Amino acid sequence: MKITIDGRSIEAQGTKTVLEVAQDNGIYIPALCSHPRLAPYAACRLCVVSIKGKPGFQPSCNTYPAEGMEVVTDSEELRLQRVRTMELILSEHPNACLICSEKADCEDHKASIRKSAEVTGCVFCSSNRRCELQEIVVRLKVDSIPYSSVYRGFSVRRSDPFFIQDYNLCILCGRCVRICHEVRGAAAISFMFRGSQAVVGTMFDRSLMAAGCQFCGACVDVCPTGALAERVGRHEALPDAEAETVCPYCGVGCRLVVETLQGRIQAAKPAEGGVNRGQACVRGRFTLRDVVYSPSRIRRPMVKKDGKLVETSWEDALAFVAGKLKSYAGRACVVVSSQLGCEDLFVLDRFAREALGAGGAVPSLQPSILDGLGDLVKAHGLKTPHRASLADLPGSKAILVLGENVPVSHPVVWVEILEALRCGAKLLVASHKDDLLTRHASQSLKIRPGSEFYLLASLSKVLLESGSPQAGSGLKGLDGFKKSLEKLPASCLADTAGLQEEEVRRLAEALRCCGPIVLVFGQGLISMPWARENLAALWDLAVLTGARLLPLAEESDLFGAWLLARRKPSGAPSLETVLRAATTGEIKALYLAGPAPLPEKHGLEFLVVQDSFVNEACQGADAVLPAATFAEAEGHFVNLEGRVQKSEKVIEPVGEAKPDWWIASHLASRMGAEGFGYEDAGRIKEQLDKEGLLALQEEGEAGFVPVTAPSGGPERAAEYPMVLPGEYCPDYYRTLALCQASPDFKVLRNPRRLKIGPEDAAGAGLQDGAKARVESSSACAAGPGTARVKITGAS
Amino acid sequence: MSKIIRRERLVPNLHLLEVSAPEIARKCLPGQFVMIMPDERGERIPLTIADWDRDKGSVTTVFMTVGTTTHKLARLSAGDEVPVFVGPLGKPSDIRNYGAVLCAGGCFGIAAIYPIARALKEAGNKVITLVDVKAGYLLYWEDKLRKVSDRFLVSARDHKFETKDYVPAKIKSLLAEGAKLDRVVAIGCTYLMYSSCEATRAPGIKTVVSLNPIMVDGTGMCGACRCAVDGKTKFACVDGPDFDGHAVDWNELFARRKSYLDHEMKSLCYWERTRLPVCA
Amino acid sequence: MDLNELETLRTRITASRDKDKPCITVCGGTGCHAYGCLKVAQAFRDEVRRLGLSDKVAVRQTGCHGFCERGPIVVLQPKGIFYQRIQLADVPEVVSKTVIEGLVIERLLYAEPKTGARIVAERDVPFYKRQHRRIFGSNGHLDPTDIDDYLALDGYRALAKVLSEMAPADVIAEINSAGLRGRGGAGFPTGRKWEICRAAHGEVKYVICNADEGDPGAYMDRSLLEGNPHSVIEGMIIGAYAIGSHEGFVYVRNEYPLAVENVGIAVEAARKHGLLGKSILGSKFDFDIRIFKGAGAFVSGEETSLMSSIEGRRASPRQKPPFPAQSGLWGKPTNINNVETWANVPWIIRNGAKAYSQIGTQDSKGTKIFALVGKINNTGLVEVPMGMKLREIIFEIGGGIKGGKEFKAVQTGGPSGGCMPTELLDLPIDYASLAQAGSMMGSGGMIVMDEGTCMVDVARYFLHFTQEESCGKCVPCRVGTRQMAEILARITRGEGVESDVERLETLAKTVKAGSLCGLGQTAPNPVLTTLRYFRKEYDAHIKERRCPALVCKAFLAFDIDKRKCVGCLLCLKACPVKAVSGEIKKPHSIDQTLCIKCGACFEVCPPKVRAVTKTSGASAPERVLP
Repeated sequence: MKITIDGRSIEAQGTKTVLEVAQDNGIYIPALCSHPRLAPYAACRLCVVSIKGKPGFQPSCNTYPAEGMEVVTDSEELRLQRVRTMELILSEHPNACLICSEKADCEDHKASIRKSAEVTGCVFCSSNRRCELQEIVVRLKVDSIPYSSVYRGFSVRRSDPFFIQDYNLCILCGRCVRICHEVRGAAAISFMFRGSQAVVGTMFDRSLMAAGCQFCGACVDVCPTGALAERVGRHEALPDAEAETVCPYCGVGCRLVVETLQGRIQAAKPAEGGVNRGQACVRGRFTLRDVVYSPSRIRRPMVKKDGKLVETSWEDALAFVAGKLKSYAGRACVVVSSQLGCEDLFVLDRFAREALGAGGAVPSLQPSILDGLGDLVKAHGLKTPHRASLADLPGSKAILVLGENVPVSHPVVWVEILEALRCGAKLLVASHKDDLLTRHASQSLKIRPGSEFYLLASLSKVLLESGSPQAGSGLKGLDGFKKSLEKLPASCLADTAGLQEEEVRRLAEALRCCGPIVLVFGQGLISMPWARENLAALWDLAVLTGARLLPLAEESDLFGAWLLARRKPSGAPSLETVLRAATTGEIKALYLAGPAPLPEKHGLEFLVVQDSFVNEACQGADAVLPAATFAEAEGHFVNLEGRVQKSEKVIEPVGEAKPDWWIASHLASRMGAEGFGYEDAGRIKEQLDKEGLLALQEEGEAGFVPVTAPSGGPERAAEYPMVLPGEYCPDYYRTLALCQASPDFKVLRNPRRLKIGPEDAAGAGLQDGAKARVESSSACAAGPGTARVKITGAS
Repeated sequence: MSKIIRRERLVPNLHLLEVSAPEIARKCLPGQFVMIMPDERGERIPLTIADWDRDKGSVTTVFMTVGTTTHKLARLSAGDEVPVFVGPLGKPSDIRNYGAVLCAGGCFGIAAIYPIARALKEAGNKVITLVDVKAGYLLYWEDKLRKVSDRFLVSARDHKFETKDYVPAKIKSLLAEGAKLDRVVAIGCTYLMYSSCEATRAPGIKTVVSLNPIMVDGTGMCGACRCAVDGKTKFACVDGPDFDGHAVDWNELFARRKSYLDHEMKSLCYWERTRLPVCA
Repeated sequence: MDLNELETLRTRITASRDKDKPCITVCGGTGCHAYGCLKVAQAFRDEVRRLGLSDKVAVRQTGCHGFCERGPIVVLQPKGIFYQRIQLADVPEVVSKTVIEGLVIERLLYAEPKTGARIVAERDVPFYKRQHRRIFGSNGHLDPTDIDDYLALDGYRALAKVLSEMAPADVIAEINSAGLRGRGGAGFPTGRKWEICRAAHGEVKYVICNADEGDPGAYMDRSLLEGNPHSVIEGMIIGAYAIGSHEGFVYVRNEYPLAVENVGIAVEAARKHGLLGKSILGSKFDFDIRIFKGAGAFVSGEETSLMSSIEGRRASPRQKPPFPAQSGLWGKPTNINNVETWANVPWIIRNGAKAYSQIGTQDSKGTKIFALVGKINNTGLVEVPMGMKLREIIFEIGGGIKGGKEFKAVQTGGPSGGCMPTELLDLPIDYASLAQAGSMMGSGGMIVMDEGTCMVDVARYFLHFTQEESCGKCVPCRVGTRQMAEILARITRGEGVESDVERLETLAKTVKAGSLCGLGQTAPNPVLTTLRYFRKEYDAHIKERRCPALVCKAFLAFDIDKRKCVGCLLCLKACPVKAVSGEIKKPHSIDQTLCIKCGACFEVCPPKVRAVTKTSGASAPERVLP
């Protein structure tokens, strides 16, 4: 539709407010409480404009354009009203520096005042020179405040990790409260009291931790003043450069803008574009700095000389390792973390194959969700059901979540799910405990850990019996699938999964709704021996209902690692076989470029650790090679949607760390392998593109996969009566746990806690907070898998 | 170890600290300072003596929370003890009857000029006190200062007080009014003292400033507090802290005060993150 | 129960009540509660039972009669003998003399203040005579907790007519032609409001009765809801039928316990009689009402914040548009009207729009109930036709100013209204002229002030009130009202400066133009009108440091006129801070440094001596009050 602003005729649609239309066309209207992702609030009253035909002033942030509307944004009357309103706002805000005559040359003379306890002027504030109030004061030329200034006298709240709250600076624009309610769904803060006593606070004035805050930092990002300030860089000067990277932790692949000062990382803020649309989680937002500058960084190459690791130069280290490894060709393995860039993974894989003669680089995260799907494709030659992207979530009508505590492990996916719920979608959850997920679910089922298969199979059975979904008809393997369903024991639902018929029927009913469906599933679905059967059942349900699959990859480049692993079919052994071979001595040398639970006594003769952080493996290592982190090298990461994203180099490597591909290529060329002369990551990317390795083409046509009931019942149930479902959460980068890197993170998430039912606790003689001993049947109980365990009081 | 009698927050960022130190209280004079350490592994910092009670044996200082040490001090409470509280150090101010004296003080300087104004008043001077604060709620000891001064002026960036201008402009308007000033004492942050001296340089009024360089021992040994006063290197702790403001090389002092700025930042960031409970 | 069952029930009730059976009606409004009317009513019942006349004489505890000044009020029907200020002791005499023998007891009758003439019938009492009690009239005739009384007075006849003969559009047309406008304060035409809500798409629509009434000094919604809840309920059902809503809320303040109780009983009774719930009176229309108790915030009288309060959220208003008619409670189209507006609807349907629009001015039709309070002789609730002059309400109905003092100003519209001086006494009461004078109709509070009221102090009080009650969401209202309240407080403390008046005006303009909701937009009215009509009082406070009305303590000075003082020690004993000195029979004196200006000496000094002088301002005493 056509509207005129200040005489200029502008084209506008009905969805954007007059304020947004004006800002899009470069017309300045001051606004403090409006925000692109938040509903109009119209509290600061700065964005008032006069509209022909409407009396008085209208807030442009809440007015939508109408055909032929005439808007005046700049008149003497409006300017006066805005200046008056700004004076009122500043009368309750420490405004001394805004109107001070010495403002100009105070900058270079102040030495110490930046480090004061309480902010009584802009110069003290951590948001100085990047605060929206200052910007508006300059724009509106406010030079005096005709009111005696008021200091509300709140004490600065420091009882929470990551950021402080100084509500003396708060202008009650409500952005923090609204983003916590409308976008993040945590609703941890709200307004308390009213009138001039109004203040932002939590229920019963408790700490943010107690109020259920997830510390995503969204409120700190939207706060126009310094009221919410990150604790780490609070007293430092403003950043002088920034670069856009991909968050190295989980598979969502959020784009982050990392701010640096004189080549040192200061803070990371979510980038506007990208898959995360301006949102991030506590890991990406607050812990990057602590990880990159962690004291446990390995700075120089080290080689073991008569029993002790001694620092050497790169030359000697490479020569020593290459020489040794040559002798173990064919009897060595390489383990890699899938939090490395595609370039690193590709070169390490080639190094393993061509230089060491091992099958290929072994990913440290086993089993991985994407492998499971890949195997089904290989086994049945079918195309995987349609893959969902994050952008599909808001438009979907039903979302089924299985085997993952999404709000904690993939918070940005949770933000998109919340948006879907707000547009009327239904959230269906199958999990074994109550948490934020089940609280928002319209239907949540409590199932016994590890019995997701029976739920999925019976869902398909119910849907087939009612015969309604036409999506599945006429596709390959339908009758094979039906026959395999009949073979399932009839009462499989009640006894193994602990579910009633009625519940499953209602869940099926919800899935039959019209409109797109997304199946979100995570590590919990495949972390048990019958992972393949679970995935088959999920695959069939997806094909049956035409739903899209969203596999929650745990690590940032898991998808990339999976794509690269599909290269020449030789394929790498699984991590468990590598570890068993290491203990029995089948393999003599191990090249660890990722976390691997290596037992103390092993039969290895030569162990190399290529990592950024010191870890237990380093003690027994013969050589330790410092690797650069994601921020110190350029690289490409493939997120859970299959989207390839570039991560820029932010800072120079710490100490003498080198990028992983650099180390592997130099070792390989020293060991005589050709084609490793890469000058920089760009060359590797070109080769990857040339060979089309990162492209995901899937041939074959859609179809059903026969389903088989999970064999191998509960082994040694008597000896290990309980099932411990591993709650998976990528709170680590390579081998460094975030709890160890960031003291604040440790306050938020203490990993060493076990949640156990009251009767079981009493049975094992445990009280709240007591120490417990967990014995398990399977080898990697400590890992993410669901394992049968015996829990007793600590001896 | 000296015991703290009282530590309270007067106004945002400014805390009063009253410590029982009978020996110091017995002989301290206006313009002198003490060295204090908040704990065994803390930093020694100089604090100007603001008041004392000779028979009760207590010394009062006012400090501003601008770094790790002052944040630690702000966390102490009555009954705690500080390992080091040594003084009185530095040469006392030169108190004589000059006629009309202007005592200008900014934030912690307001407390620092109080003993000097009191002494000047007793010496028969006509004392004009000029207090500079950012806003009304940062003003403290108004009644104490009014008792010792003939005229009490405030310059602030707050509508409560008519004038909005800073100390130098206030001095100029005073002179324009025809007030006769024989001497000016200016104590506060370096910028305040520097700009006051600039204002009084032209009319040639002698201006005494109490310099606040970084000090370590405070007894003339380490030389950290050296300043250039009319070309010669002087130790602020033993030759000062009072100096003739027009003779001081201010740029050197500004530079010296910033020499450890990033270490101070790192220290405060670390300290605040690891062990800082709710601020007072 | 369907339509004809209702009629048969009505005829059965009216038949069982013969007109001339004597009935003692005792006012049960909250005002009279304070005077102890419950005990009086119980005393009447005991007395009637004691005399064994329970079948011949009825005792009925009714709603508020309106004349709160003279409570507890007893009206003996059918003759309508009006007794006022009935004490427990008078009960036996009233029963024996008036009820049985039919003799009028002179001393209990209302005495005309000027002539002293006694008036027997309620109709002739001047307080009632000039009123036009259409809506409020039946309060005195029915027991709010008994639905039969309401049915006996043509209760629910309008609803029956609507359900049987009228289509929703006809109802709206009738309301439109009657010219009914919202009684909540803004005066938006009710018909048009219903039309917009009806036109909004969406089947689920809500109808709300706004009984939040937060204005200090206004209690007509309270008495209407306590006295005649069924008229409001009937109005709501008709409105819901017209709009097509099936769910209604009565949002009543928790500080009105009697109103909450009576509305609860009324809704329960209506449900039992098939007037609420499924298929009302056998028709296809179903509608139910839920009562929601407000948590005591003045701001939740504003539409959008009332709705967020019902939704269980923080009661802060939303920017309009969207208007409640398009997206209100839980996003559904909602129609909110004031208690009095709903009560007018049955009258219009029963008597027709033409009869309704006989009364009132060209654009403000019907009657308005005002809470006449303040320095007035006849405090109470008056229902007057729109267009009546202020002078008539205050002097004829209100009986003039208490204590014979001089009228100074009248404040209408509560904290959102303005103060009108003597020159505007001839202003007709309707929406347009009140707004044009800078005030507003508001919910109907009418606070009369005499010369002993300081206008600056009144403005301070109202700004302090809106500042306390502001929800704190938008800047102009949250900060602007606090600054204005502070400036006014400073002026009344004697610290006013020249620029204060000019800053008050700019602030008032900013707050009025910038605020998000009605509270902020109208908060400056008290200041603007007092500045406009009583500018010299501001100047007296600021320039001459003097309070002409002798109210502001900062300027007050108490002294003893040596010539008149007889030395009786009365003021000496009364002074709480021993500021008075002197011996018996010798003129006393007041130590001005000790005096805290409490005025105890002034009050205790015997009228015939009048030695203590109360003056304002440092210079010569302005005028010694009688």
